[in-house]
Amino acid sequence: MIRLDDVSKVYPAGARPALEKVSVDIDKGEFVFLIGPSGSGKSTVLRLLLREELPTKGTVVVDNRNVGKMPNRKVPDLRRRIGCVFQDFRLLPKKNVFENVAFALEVINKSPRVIRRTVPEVLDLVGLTGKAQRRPGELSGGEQQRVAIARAFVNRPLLLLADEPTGNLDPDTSQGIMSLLERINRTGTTVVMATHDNNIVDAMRRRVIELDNGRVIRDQNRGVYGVGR
Amino acid sequence: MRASFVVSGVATGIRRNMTMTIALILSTAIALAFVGAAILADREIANFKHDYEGKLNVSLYLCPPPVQVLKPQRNCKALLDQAEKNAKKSGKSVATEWRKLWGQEKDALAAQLAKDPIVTGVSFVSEQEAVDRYRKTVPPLVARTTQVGDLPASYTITLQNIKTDYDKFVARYQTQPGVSGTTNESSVLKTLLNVIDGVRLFSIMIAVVVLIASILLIANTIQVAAAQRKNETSIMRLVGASRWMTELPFMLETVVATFVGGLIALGLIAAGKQFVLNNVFEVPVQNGVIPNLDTNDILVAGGFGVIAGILLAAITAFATLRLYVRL
Repeated sequence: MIRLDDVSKVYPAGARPALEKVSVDIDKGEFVFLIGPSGSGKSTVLRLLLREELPTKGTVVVDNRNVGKMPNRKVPDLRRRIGCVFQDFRLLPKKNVFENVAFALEVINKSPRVIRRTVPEVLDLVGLTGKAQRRPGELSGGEQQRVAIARAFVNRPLLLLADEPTGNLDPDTSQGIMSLLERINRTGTTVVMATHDNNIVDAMRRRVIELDNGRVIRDQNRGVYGVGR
Repeated sequence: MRASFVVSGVATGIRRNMTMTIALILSTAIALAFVGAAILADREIANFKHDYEGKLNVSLYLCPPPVQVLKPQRNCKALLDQAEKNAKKSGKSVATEWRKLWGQEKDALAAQLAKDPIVTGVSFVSEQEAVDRYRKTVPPLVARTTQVGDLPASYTITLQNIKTDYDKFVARYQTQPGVSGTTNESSVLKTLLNVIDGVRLFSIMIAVVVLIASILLIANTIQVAAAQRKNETSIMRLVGASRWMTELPFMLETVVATFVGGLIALGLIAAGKQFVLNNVFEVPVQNGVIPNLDTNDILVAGGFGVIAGILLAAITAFATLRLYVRL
Protein backbone atom coordinates (compact mmCIF):
# COMPACT_ATOMS: atom_id res chain seq x y z
CA MET A 1 0.00 0.00 0.00
CA ILE A 2 2.70 2.47 1.04
CA ARG A 3 6.41 2.21 0.44
CA LEU A 4 9.02 4.76 1.32
CA ASP A 5 12.36 3.77 -0.07
CA ASP A 6 15.41 5.63 1.20
CA VAL A 7 13.45 8.86 1.30
CA SER A 8 15.09 12.14 2.25
CA LYS A 9 13.46 15.52 2.35
CA VAL A 10 15.30 18.80 2.71
CA TYR A 11 13.29 22.00 2.88
CA PRO A 12 14.97 24.88 1.08
CA ALA A 13 15.30 26.96 4.23
CA GLY A 14 16.08 24.08 6.55
CA ALA A 15 19.63 23.51 7.69
CA ARG A 16 19.13 19.83 8.47
CA PRO A 17 16.96 17.38 6.54
CA ALA A 18 13.35 16.93 7.68
CA LEU A 19 13.63 13.28 6.73
CA GLU A 20 16.79 11.31 6.21
CA LYS A 21 16.95 7.94 4.46
CA VAL A 22 13.58 6.76 5.64
CA SER A 23 12.47 3.34 4.42
CA VAL A 24 9.09 2.04 5.50
CA ASP A 25 6.57 -0.44 4.11
CA ILE A 26 2.95 -0.37 5.13
CA ASP A 27 0.57 -3.06 3.95
CA LYS A 28 -3.00 -2.71 2.92
CA GLY A 29 -5.33 -2.69 5.91
CA GLU A 30 -2.66 -1.86 8.49
CA PHE A 31 -3.13 0.58 11.37
CA VAL A 32 0.10 2.47 11.97
CA PHE A 33 1.04 5.09 14.55
CA LEU A 34 3.68 7.57 13.53
CA ILE A 35 5.19 8.97 16.70
CA GLY A 36 8.03 11.23 17.71
CA PRO A 37 8.61 14.71 19.12
CA SER A 38 7.64 17.90 17.27
CA GLY A 39 9.87 18.42 14.27
CA SER A 40 10.78 14.76 14.03
CA GLY A 41 9.28 14.49 10.53
CA LYS A 42 5.85 12.92 11.13
CA SER A 43 3.94 15.59 9.24
CA THR A 44 6.49 15.55 6.44
CA VAL A 45 5.79 11.84 5.90
CA LEU A 46 2.06 12.56 5.63
CA ARG A 47 2.68 15.46 3.27
CA LEU A 48 4.83 13.27 1.06
CA LEU A 49 2.12 10.61 0.90
CA LEU A 50 -0.40 13.27 -0.13
CA ARG A 51 2.07 14.76 -2.56
CA GLU A 52 1.89 18.10 -0.89
CA GLU A 53 5.66 17.82 -0.96
CA LEU A 54 8.09 16.04 -3.25
CA PRO A 55 10.89 13.91 -1.82
CA THR A 56 14.37 15.34 -2.28
CA LYS A 57 15.69 11.79 -2.67
CA GLY A 58 14.21 8.33 -2.75
CA THR A 59 10.85 6.99 -3.88
CA VAL A 60 7.43 7.33 -2.34
CA VAL A 61 4.89 4.80 -3.59
CA VAL A 62 1.22 4.93 -2.67
CA ASP A 63 -1.21 2.37 -4.11
CA ASN A 64 1.36 1.33 -6.71
CA ARG A 65 1.92 4.88 -7.92
CA ASN A 66 5.26 6.59 -7.71
CA VAL A 67 4.07 9.77 -6.04
CA GLY A 68 7.30 11.67 -6.57
CA LYS A 69 7.28 11.15 -10.33
CA MET A 70 3.57 11.64 -10.80
CA PRO A 71 2.55 14.46 -13.17
CA ASN A 72 0.51 17.28 -11.59
CA ARG A 73 -2.65 16.38 -13.42
CA LYS A 74 -2.77 12.96 -11.79
CA VAL A 75 -2.51 14.32 -8.27
CA PRO A 76 -6.29 14.86 -7.81
CA ASP A 77 -6.86 11.20 -8.65
CA LEU A 78 -4.33 10.13 -6.01
CA ARG A 79 -5.97 12.33 -3.39
CA ARG A 80 -9.37 10.86 -4.13
CA ARG A 81 -7.98 7.61 -2.78
CA ILE A 82 -6.68 9.20 0.38
CA GLY A 83 -8.76 10.62 3.24
CA CYS A 84 -7.30 13.25 5.55
CA VAL A 85 -8.06 14.28 9.11
CA PHE A 86 -6.34 17.08 11.01
CA GLN A 87 -5.99 18.31 14.55
CA ASP A 88 -7.92 21.50 13.73
CA PHE A 89 -10.80 19.68 11.93
CA ARG A 90 -10.77 22.13 8.95
CA LEU A 91 -14.52 22.28 8.54
CA LEU A 92 -16.31 25.03 6.65
CA PRO A 93 -18.08 27.08 9.35
CA LYS A 94 -20.90 28.31 7.11
CA LYS A 95 -21.91 24.88 5.92
CA ASN A 96 -23.84 22.45 8.06
CA VAL A 97 -22.67 18.92 8.82
CA PHE A 98 -24.36 17.39 5.80
CA GLU A 99 -22.99 20.09 3.47
CA ASN A 100 -19.48 19.79 4.87
CA VAL A 101 -19.43 16.09 4.09
CA ALA A 102 -21.24 16.51 0.78
CA PHE A 103 -18.68 19.15 -0.26
CA ALA A 104 -16.01 16.47 -0.59
CA LEU A 105 -18.21 14.62 -3.07
CA GLU A 106 -19.48 17.67 -4.94
CA VAL A 107 -16.00 18.87 -5.84
CA ILE A 108 -15.17 15.51 -7.38
CA ASN A 109 -18.31 15.61 -9.47
CA LYS A 110 -20.44 13.01 -7.72
CA SER A 111 -24.09 13.19 -8.69
CA PRO A 112 -26.64 14.64 -6.24
CA ARG A 113 -28.27 11.22 -6.11
CA VAL A 114 -25.06 9.56 -4.92
CA ILE A 115 -24.52 12.38 -2.42
CA ARG A 116 -28.03 12.05 -0.97
CA ARG A 117 -27.46 8.35 -0.47
CA THR A 118 -23.85 8.27 0.75
CA VAL A 119 -23.70 11.20 3.15
CA PRO A 120 -26.38 9.91 5.60
CA GLU A 121 -24.70 6.49 5.55
CA VAL A 122 -21.35 7.88 6.57
CA LEU A 123 -22.90 10.23 9.15
CA ASP A 124 -24.54 7.17 10.62
CA LEU A 125 -21.17 5.38 10.68
CA VAL A 126 -19.48 8.19 12.63
CA GLY A 127 -22.41 8.50 15.02
CA LEU A 128 -23.80 11.84 13.91
CA THR A 129 -27.27 10.72 12.87
CA GLY A 130 -29.69 13.54 13.59
CA LYS A 131 -27.04 16.26 13.58
CA ALA A 132 -26.88 16.73 9.83
CA GLN A 133 -28.36 20.21 9.94
CA ARG A 134 -26.06 21.56 12.68
CA ARG A 135 -23.23 23.90 11.87
CA PRO A 136 -19.70 23.13 13.12
CA GLY A 137 -19.97 25.98 15.64
CA GLU A 138 -22.88 24.19 17.30
CA LEU A 139 -20.95 20.96 17.82
CA SER A 140 -18.44 19.81 20.43
CA GLY A 141 -14.81 19.24 19.46
CA GLY A 142 -15.29 15.50 19.31
CA GLU A 143 -18.36 15.85 17.12
CA GLN A 144 -16.51 18.23 14.80
CA GLN A 145 -13.72 15.71 14.44
CA ARG A 146 -16.34 13.07 13.59
CA VAL A 147 -17.60 15.33 10.82
CA ALA A 148 -14.05 15.67 9.55
CA ILE A 149 -13.61 11.89 9.63
CA ALA A 150 -16.93 11.46 7.83
CA ARG A 151 -15.72 13.85 5.15
CA ALA A 152 -12.41 11.99 4.84
CA PHE A 153 -14.13 8.62 4.62
CA VAL A 154 -17.20 9.44 2.54
CA ASN A 155 -15.43 8.64 -0.70
CA ARG A 156 -14.28 5.26 0.75
CA PRO A 157 -10.54 5.95 0.46
CA LEU A 158 -7.95 3.17 0.50
CA LEU A 159 -5.85 5.16 2.92
CA LEU A 160 -6.77 7.43 5.80
CA LEU A 161 -4.12 9.86 7.04
CA ALA A 162 -4.71 11.41 10.44
CA ASP A 163 -2.43 14.17 11.71
CA GLU A 164 -2.87 14.42 15.50
CA PRO A 165 -6.62 13.89 15.24
CA THR A 166 -7.00 13.81 19.02
CA GLY A 167 -4.65 16.71 19.70
CA ASN A 168 -7.47 19.09 20.62
CA LEU A 169 -9.68 16.60 22.44
CA ASP A 170 -9.98 15.38 26.01
CA PRO A 171 -9.06 11.73 26.75
CA ASP A 172 -12.64 10.38 26.76
CA THR A 173 -13.50 12.06 23.49
CA SER A 174 -10.19 10.92 22.05
CA GLN A 175 -11.09 7.38 22.96
CA GLY A 176 -14.32 7.71 20.95
CA ILE A 177 -12.41 9.03 17.94
CA MET A 178 -9.95 6.14 18.19
CA SER A 179 -12.69 3.53 18.18
CA LEU A 180 -14.13 5.22 15.15
CA LEU A 181 -10.77 5.08 13.34
CA GLU A 182 -10.47 1.47 14.36
CA ARG A 183 -13.89 0.72 12.91
CA ILE A 184 -12.84 2.40 9.68
CA ASN A 185 -9.65 0.37 9.68
CA ARG A 186 -11.74 -2.81 10.00
CA THR A 187 -13.45 -1.97 6.70
CA GLY A 188 -10.06 -2.54 5.07
CA THR A 189 -8.89 1.06 4.96
CA THR A 190 -5.24 1.55 5.82
CA VAL A 191 -4.88 4.12 8.62
CA VAL A 192 -1.72 6.11 9.27
CA MET A 193 -1.97 8.34 12.32
CA ALA A 194 0.64 10.78 13.53
CA THR A 195 0.28 11.44 17.24
CA HIS A 196 1.83 12.57 20.50
CA ASP A 197 -0.75 10.85 22.63
CA ASN A 198 1.04 8.07 24.51
CA ASN A 199 -2.13 6.86 26.26
CA ILE A 200 -3.77 6.12 22.96
CA VAL A 201 -0.74 4.43 21.46
CA ASP A 202 -0.25 2.32 24.54
CA ALA A 203 -3.93 1.34 24.68
CA MET A 204 -4.23 0.36 21.04
CA ARG A 205 -1.17 -1.84 20.73
CA ARG A 206 -0.74 -1.36 17.02
CA ARG A 207 2.31 -0.97 14.81
CA VAL A 208 4.43 2.01 15.90
CA ILE A 209 6.96 3.80 13.74
CA GLU A 210 9.00 6.27 15.76
CA LEU A 211 10.83 9.12 14.13
CA ASP A 212 13.51 11.29 15.64
CA ASN A 213 15.28 14.08 13.80
CA GLY A 214 14.02 12.75 10.50
CA ARG A 215 15.17 9.18 11.02
CA VAL A 216 13.23 6.05 11.83
CA ILE A 217 14.51 4.92 15.21
CA ARG A 218 11.89 2.24 15.89
CA ASP A 219 9.44 0.21 13.83
CA GLN A 220 7.59 -2.22 16.04
CA ASN A 221 4.45 -4.26 15.65
CA ARG A 222 2.04 -3.99 18.60
CA GLY A 223 4.24 -1.26 20.10
CA VAL A 224 3.79 1.26 22.87
CA TYR A 225 4.66 4.97 22.93
CA GLY A 226 7.86 4.99 24.89
CA VAL A 227 9.92 1.88 25.44
CA GLY A 228 10.86 1.83 29.10
CA ARG A 229 9.62 5.41 29.51
CA MET B 1 -18.55 19.18 -13.55
CA ARG B 2 -21.77 19.88 -11.69
CA ALA B 3 -23.03 23.18 -13.11
CA SER B 4 -25.25 23.93 -10.13
CA PHE B 5 -22.36 23.48 -7.72
CA VAL B 6 -20.12 25.81 -9.73
CA VAL B 7 -22.88 28.39 -10.19
CA SER B 8 -23.70 28.49 -6.49
CA GLY B 9 -19.98 28.82 -5.75
CA VAL B 10 -19.72 31.75 -8.14
CA ALA B 11 -22.80 33.43 -6.64
CA THR B 12 -21.42 33.06 -3.11
CA GLY B 13 -18.06 34.39 -4.21
CA ILE B 14 -19.55 37.47 -5.85
CA ARG B 15 -21.75 38.16 -2.82
CA ARG B 16 -18.79 37.87 -0.47
CA ASN B 17 -16.66 40.14 -2.61
CA MET B 18 -19.39 42.58 -3.61
CA THR B 19 -17.51 45.89 -3.39
CA MET B 20 -14.58 44.60 -5.41
CA THR B 21 -16.92 43.08 -7.97
CA ILE B 22 -18.71 46.42 -8.35
CA ALA B 23 -15.38 48.19 -8.81
CA LEU B 24 -14.47 45.63 -11.45
CA ILE B 25 -17.80 46.03 -13.23
CA LEU B 26 -17.47 49.81 -13.34
CA SER B 27 -13.89 49.90 -14.52
CA THR B 28 -14.51 47.33 -17.25
CA ALA B 29 -17.67 49.22 -18.27
CA ILE B 30 -15.64 52.41 -18.76
CA ALA B 31 -12.76 50.65 -20.49
CA LEU B 32 -15.04 48.73 -22.84
CA ALA B 33 -17.11 51.85 -23.57
CA PHE B 34 -13.95 53.54 -24.83
CA VAL B 35 -13.01 50.44 -26.81
CA GLY B 36 -16.50 50.63 -28.35
CA ALA B 37 -16.15 54.37 -29.01
CA ALA B 38 -12.88 53.76 -30.84
CA ILE B 39 -14.55 51.08 -32.95
CA LEU B 40 -17.50 53.36 -33.71
CA ALA B 41 -15.17 56.21 -34.69
CA ASP B 42 -13.42 53.78 -36.98
CA ARG B 43 -16.69 52.74 -38.60
CA GLU B 44 -17.73 56.37 -38.95
CA ILE B 45 -14.48 57.15 -40.77
CA ALA B 46 -15.04 54.16 -43.03
CA ASN B 47 -18.61 55.28 -43.71
CA PHE B 48 -17.42 58.78 -44.55
CA LYS B 49 -14.81 57.50 -46.94
CA HIS B 50 -17.31 55.16 -48.53
CA ASP B 51 -19.94 57.89 -48.93
CA TYR B 52 -17.59 60.46 -50.39
CA GLU B 53 -15.21 58.27 -52.35
CA GLY B 54 -15.00 59.61 -55.91
CA LYS B 55 -17.67 62.18 -55.16
CA LEU B 56 -15.35 64.84 -53.90
CA ASN B 57 -15.62 67.97 -55.96
CA VAL B 58 -14.14 71.40 -56.22
CA SER B 59 -16.37 74.43 -56.14
CA LEU B 60 -15.72 77.50 -58.22
CA TYR B 61 -17.78 80.34 -56.75
CA LEU B 62 -19.03 83.11 -58.94
CA CYS B 63 -19.43 86.67 -57.76
CA PRO B 64 -22.47 87.18 -55.60
CA PRO B 65 -24.97 89.88 -56.57
CA PRO B 66 -23.57 93.25 -55.44
CA VAL B 67 -26.49 94.17 -53.17
CA GLN B 68 -25.53 91.39 -50.82
CA VAL B 69 -21.91 92.35 -50.59
CA LEU B 70 -20.67 95.46 -48.88
CA LYS B 71 -17.26 95.62 -50.49
CA PRO B 72 -16.68 93.28 -53.40
CA GLN B 73 -13.10 92.09 -53.72
CA ARG B 74 -10.76 91.73 -56.66
CA ASN B 75 -12.56 90.20 -59.68
CA CYS B 76 -15.96 90.98 -58.23
CA LYS B 77 -15.01 94.61 -57.67
CA ALA B 78 -13.86 94.82 -61.28
CA LEU B 79 -17.17 93.34 -62.34
CA LEU B 80 -19.13 95.85 -60.30
CA ASP B 81 -17.03 98.78 -61.54
CA GLN B 82 -17.59 97.72 -65.13
CA ALA B 83 -21.32 97.33 -64.52
CA GLU B 84 -21.51 100.85 -63.06
CA LYS B 85 -19.65 102.27 -66.09
CA ASN B 86 -21.95 100.47 -68.52
CA ALA B 87 -24.99 101.68 -66.58
CA LYS B 88 -23.93 105.30 -66.95
CA LYS B 89 -23.49 104.84 -70.70
CA SER B 90 -26.66 102.88 -71.35
CA GLY B 91 -28.85 104.49 -68.71
CA LYS B 92 -30.01 101.11 -67.46
CA SER B 93 -29.79 100.11 -63.82
CA VAL B 94 -26.49 98.85 -62.35
CA ALA B 95 -28.17 95.58 -61.39
CA THR B 96 -29.24 94.87 -64.95
CA GLU B 97 -25.82 95.66 -66.36
CA TRP B 98 -24.16 93.63 -63.59
CA ARG B 99 -26.34 90.62 -64.33
CA LYS B 100 -25.57 90.90 -68.04
CA LEU B 101 -21.81 91.04 -67.49
CA TRP B 102 -22.02 88.30 -64.89
CA GLY B 103 -23.83 86.11 -67.42
CA GLN B 104 -21.14 86.71 -70.01
CA GLU B 105 -18.38 85.86 -67.59
CA LYS B 106 -20.24 82.80 -66.41
CA ASP B 107 -20.55 81.55 -69.99
CA ALA B 108 -16.90 82.36 -70.70
CA LEU B 109 -15.92 80.28 -67.67
CA ALA B 110 -18.14 77.43 -68.82
CA ALA B 111 -16.43 77.45 -72.21
CA GLN B 112 -12.99 77.50 -70.63
CA LEU B 113 -13.85 74.70 -68.19
CA ALA B 114 -15.23 72.56 -71.01
CA LYS B 115 -11.91 72.75 -72.82
CA ASP B 116 -9.72 72.22 -69.72
CA PRO B 117 -8.09 68.75 -69.73
CA ILE B 118 -7.83 68.47 -65.93
CA VAL B 119 -11.58 68.99 -65.58
CA THR B 120 -13.69 65.90 -66.11
CA GLY B 121 -17.10 67.17 -65.07
CA VAL B 122 -18.85 70.50 -64.65
CA SER B 123 -22.25 71.31 -63.29
CA PHE B 124 -23.76 74.67 -62.55
CA VAL B 125 -25.31 75.40 -59.16
CA SER B 126 -27.56 78.41 -59.32
CA GLU B 127 -28.12 80.79 -56.42
CA GLN B 128 -31.50 79.12 -55.85
CA GLU B 129 -29.97 75.64 -55.75
CA ALA B 130 -27.18 76.80 -53.45
CA VAL B 131 -29.72 78.07 -50.95
CA ASP B 132 -31.82 74.92 -51.28
CA ARG B 133 -28.82 72.75 -50.48
CA TYR B 134 -27.71 74.91 -47.61
CA ARG B 135 -31.14 74.81 -46.02
CA LYS B 136 -30.95 71.03 -45.83
CA THR B 137 -27.87 71.11 -43.64
CA VAL B 138 -28.92 73.64 -41.04
CA PRO B 139 -31.62 73.75 -38.36
CA PRO B 140 -35.02 75.05 -39.54
CA LEU B 141 -34.64 78.47 -37.93
CA VAL B 142 -31.45 79.22 -39.90
CA ALA B 143 -33.00 77.73 -43.03
CA ARG B 144 -35.96 80.13 -42.84
CA THR B 145 -33.76 83.23 -42.54
CA THR B 146 -31.57 82.34 -45.49
CA GLN B 147 -32.65 83.95 -48.77
CA VAL B 148 -31.85 83.47 -52.39
CA GLY B 149 -28.81 85.63 -53.15
CA ASP B 150 -27.23 85.09 -49.77
CA LEU B 151 -25.10 82.42 -51.31
CA PRO B 152 -23.28 82.76 -54.62
CA ALA B 153 -23.86 80.57 -57.63
CA SER B 154 -21.05 78.18 -58.39
CA TYR B 155 -19.67 75.55 -60.69
CA THR B 156 -19.21 72.15 -59.13
CA ILE B 157 -16.22 70.67 -60.82
CA THR B 158 -14.88 67.17 -60.85
CA LEU B 159 -11.15 67.10 -61.36
CA GLN B 160 -9.30 64.25 -62.92
CA ASN B 161 -7.22 63.95 -59.77
CA ILE B 162 -8.29 66.16 -56.93
CA LYS B 163 -5.08 65.67 -54.98
CA THR B 164 -2.62 66.68 -57.70
CA ASP B 165 -4.71 68.98 -59.86
CA TYR B 166 -6.30 71.19 -57.26
CA ASP B 167 -3.40 73.65 -56.94
CA LYS B 168 -3.11 73.91 -60.73
CA PHE B 169 -6.85 74.52 -60.93
CA VAL B 170 -6.74 77.30 -58.33
CA ALA B 171 -3.85 79.04 -60.08
CA ARG B 172 -5.71 78.90 -63.38
CA TYR B 173 -9.15 80.09 -62.28
CA GLN B 174 -8.67 82.18 -59.13
CA THR B 175 -7.94 85.30 -61.19
CA GLN B 176 -10.52 84.76 -63.94
CA PRO B 177 -13.17 87.47 -64.26
CA GLY B 178 -16.34 86.63 -62.34
CA VAL B 179 -14.68 84.19 -59.93
CA SER B 180 -14.98 85.02 -56.23
CA GLY B 181 -13.20 81.98 -54.91
CA THR B 182 -12.66 78.24 -54.89
CA THR B 183 -13.07 75.61 -52.26
CA ASN B 184 -11.89 72.10 -52.03
CA GLU B 185 -14.42 69.77 -50.40
CA SER B 186 -11.76 67.24 -49.64
CA SER B 187 -9.96 69.67 -47.33
CA VAL B 188 -13.20 70.35 -45.44
CA LEU B 189 -13.80 66.64 -45.21
CA LYS B 190 -10.23 66.06 -44.16
CA THR B 191 -10.71 68.37 -41.17
CA LEU B 192 -13.81 66.47 -40.15
CA LEU B 193 -12.06 63.13 -40.60
CA ASN B 194 -9.13 64.43 -38.54
CA VAL B 195 -11.53 65.31 -35.74
CA ILE B 196 -13.08 61.85 -35.79
CA ASP B 197 -9.64 60.29 -36.01
CA GLY B 198 -8.63 62.31 -32.96
CA VAL B 199 -11.67 60.98 -31.12
CA ARG B 200 -10.64 57.47 -32.09
CA LEU B 201 -7.07 57.92 -30.90
CA PHE B 202 -8.24 59.51 -27.66
CA SER B 203 -10.65 56.63 -27.07
CA ILE B 204 -7.94 54.07 -27.69
CA MET B 205 -5.61 55.78 -25.23
CA ILE B 206 -8.24 56.00 -22.49
CA ALA B 207 -9.30 52.42 -23.21
CA VAL B 208 -5.74 51.17 -22.85
CA VAL B 209 -5.20 53.00 -19.56
CA VAL B 210 -8.50 51.85 -18.04
CA LEU B 211 -7.97 48.32 -19.36
CA ILE B 212 -4.63 48.17 -17.59
CA ALA B 213 -6.40 49.32 -14.42
CA SER B 214 -9.03 46.62 -14.96
CA ILE B 215 -6.42 43.91 -15.45
CA LEU B 216 -4.68 44.89 -12.23
CA LEU B 217 -8.03 45.02 -10.48
CA ILE B 218 -8.85 41.51 -11.70
CA ALA B 219 -5.50 40.25 -10.44
CA ASN B 220 -6.07 41.89 -7.05
CA THR B 221 -9.67 40.73 -6.77
CA ILE B 222 -8.66 37.15 -7.44
CA GLN B 223 -5.85 37.24 -4.92
CA VAL B 224 -8.15 38.66 -2.26
CA ALA B 225 -10.89 36.17 -3.10
CA ALA B 226 -8.42 33.29 -3.04
CA ALA B 227 -7.12 34.39 0.36
CA GLN B 228 -10.69 34.63 1.68
CA ARG B 229 -11.48 31.15 0.49
CA LYS B 230 -8.21 29.52 1.44
CA ASN B 231 -10.07 27.10 3.74
CA GLU B 232 -12.42 25.99 1.07
CA THR B 233 -9.84 25.59 -1.67
CA SER B 234 -7.41 23.73 0.56
CA ILE B 235 -10.15 21.25 1.43
CA MET B 236 -11.03 20.95 -2.23
CA ARG B 237 -7.44 20.12 -3.07
CA LEU B 238 -7.16 17.62 -0.24
CA VAL B 239 -10.19 15.65 -1.31
CA GLY B 240 -8.94 15.53 -4.87
CA ALA B 241 -10.80 18.25 -6.72
CA SER B 242 -9.20 18.92 -10.07
CA ARG B 243 -7.34 22.15 -10.61
CA TRP B 244 -10.09 23.35 -12.92
CA MET B 245 -12.69 22.71 -10.27
CA THR B 246 -10.86 24.94 -7.81
CA GLU B 247 -9.98 27.65 -10.30
CA LEU B 248 -13.14 27.83 -12.36
CA PRO B 249 -15.26 29.70 -9.79
CA PHE B 250 -12.66 32.47 -9.55
CA MET B 251 -12.41 32.76 -13.31
CA LEU B 252 -16.17 32.74 -13.73
CA GLU B 253 -16.59 35.47 -11.14
CA THR B 254 -14.34 37.82 -13.08
CA VAL B 255 -15.91 36.80 -16.37
CA VAL B 256 -19.42 37.47 -15.01
CA ALA B 257 -18.31 40.87 -13.68
CA THR B 258 -16.71 41.72 -17.03
CA PHE B 259 -19.81 40.60 -18.89
CA VAL B 260 -22.01 42.87 -16.78
CA GLY B 261 -19.47 45.66 -17.32
CA GLY B 262 -19.62 44.95 -21.06
CA LEU B 263 -23.42 45.24 -21.07
CA ILE B 264 -23.18 48.59 -19.26
CA ALA B 265 -20.57 49.66 -21.82
CA LEU B 266 -22.99 48.73 -24.59
CA GLY B 267 -25.56 51.03 -22.98
CA LEU B 268 -22.99 53.81 -22.69
CA ILE B 269 -22.01 53.43 -26.34
CA ALA B 270 -25.66 53.53 -27.45
CA ALA B 271 -26.29 56.60 -25.28
CA GLY B 272 -23.12 58.30 -26.52
CA LYS B 273 -24.00 57.66 -30.16
CA GLN B 274 -27.52 58.98 -29.55
CA PHE B 275 -26.14 62.13 -27.95
CA VAL B 276 -23.41 62.94 -30.47
CA LEU B 277 -25.00 61.91 -33.76
CA ASN B 278 -28.70 62.37 -33.00
CA ASN B 279 -28.57 65.48 -30.81
CA VAL B 280 -25.41 67.45 -31.56
CA PHE B 281 -25.29 66.70 -35.30
CA GLU B 282 -28.99 66.09 -35.72
CA VAL B 283 -29.63 67.93 -39.02
CA PRO B 284 -26.53 66.99 -41.02
CA VAL B 285 -27.04 63.39 -39.98
CA GLN B 286 -30.70 63.47 -40.98
CA ASN B 287 -29.79 64.85 -44.39
CA GLY B 288 -27.04 62.34 -44.91
CA VAL B 289 -24.18 64.83 -44.84
CA ILE B 290 -22.65 63.04 -41.87
CA PRO B 291 -23.17 59.29 -42.19
CA ASN B 292 -25.32 57.87 -39.43
CA LEU B 293 -24.45 54.78 -37.41
CA ASP B 294 -27.18 52.21 -36.92
CA THR B 295 -28.02 49.66 -34.25
CA ASN B 296 -25.87 47.17 -36.06
CA ASP B 297 -22.79 49.38 -35.63
CA ILE B 298 -23.55 49.76 -31.93
CA LEU B 299 -23.97 46.01 -31.51
CA VAL B 300 -20.77 45.29 -33.40
CA ALA B 301 -18.78 47.80 -31.33
CA GLY B 302 -20.39 46.75 -28.04
CA GLY B 303 -20.28 43.06 -28.86
CA PHE B 304 -16.63 43.21 -29.78
CA GLY B 305 -15.99 45.01 -26.50
CA VAL B 306 -17.88 42.39 -24.50
CA ILE B 307 -16.11 39.47 -26.16
CA ALA B 308 -12.67 41.08 -25.95
CA GLY B 309 -13.33 41.99 -22.32
CA ILE B 310 -14.39 38.47 -21.40
CA LEU B 311 -11.35 36.95 -23.10
CA LEU B 312 -9.06 39.42 -21.38
CA ALA B 313 -10.69 38.73 -18.00
CA ALA B 314 -10.44 34.98 -18.43
CA ILE B 315 -6.80 35.14 -19.51
CA THR B 316 -5.90 37.54 -16.69
CA ALA B 317 -7.72 35.38 -14.14
CA PHE B 318 -6.06 32.24 -15.43
CA ALA B 319 -2.60 33.81 -15.39
CA THR B 320 -3.13 35.23 -11.90
CA LEU B 321 -4.26 31.88 -10.56
CA ARG B 322 -1.32 30.07 -12.09
CA LEU B 323 1.36 32.63 -11.30
CA TYR B 324 0.39 34.36 -8.08
CA VAL B 325 -2.07 32.17 -6.24
CA ARG B 326 -1.30 28.80 -4.73
CA LEU B 327 -4.65 27.19 -4.41
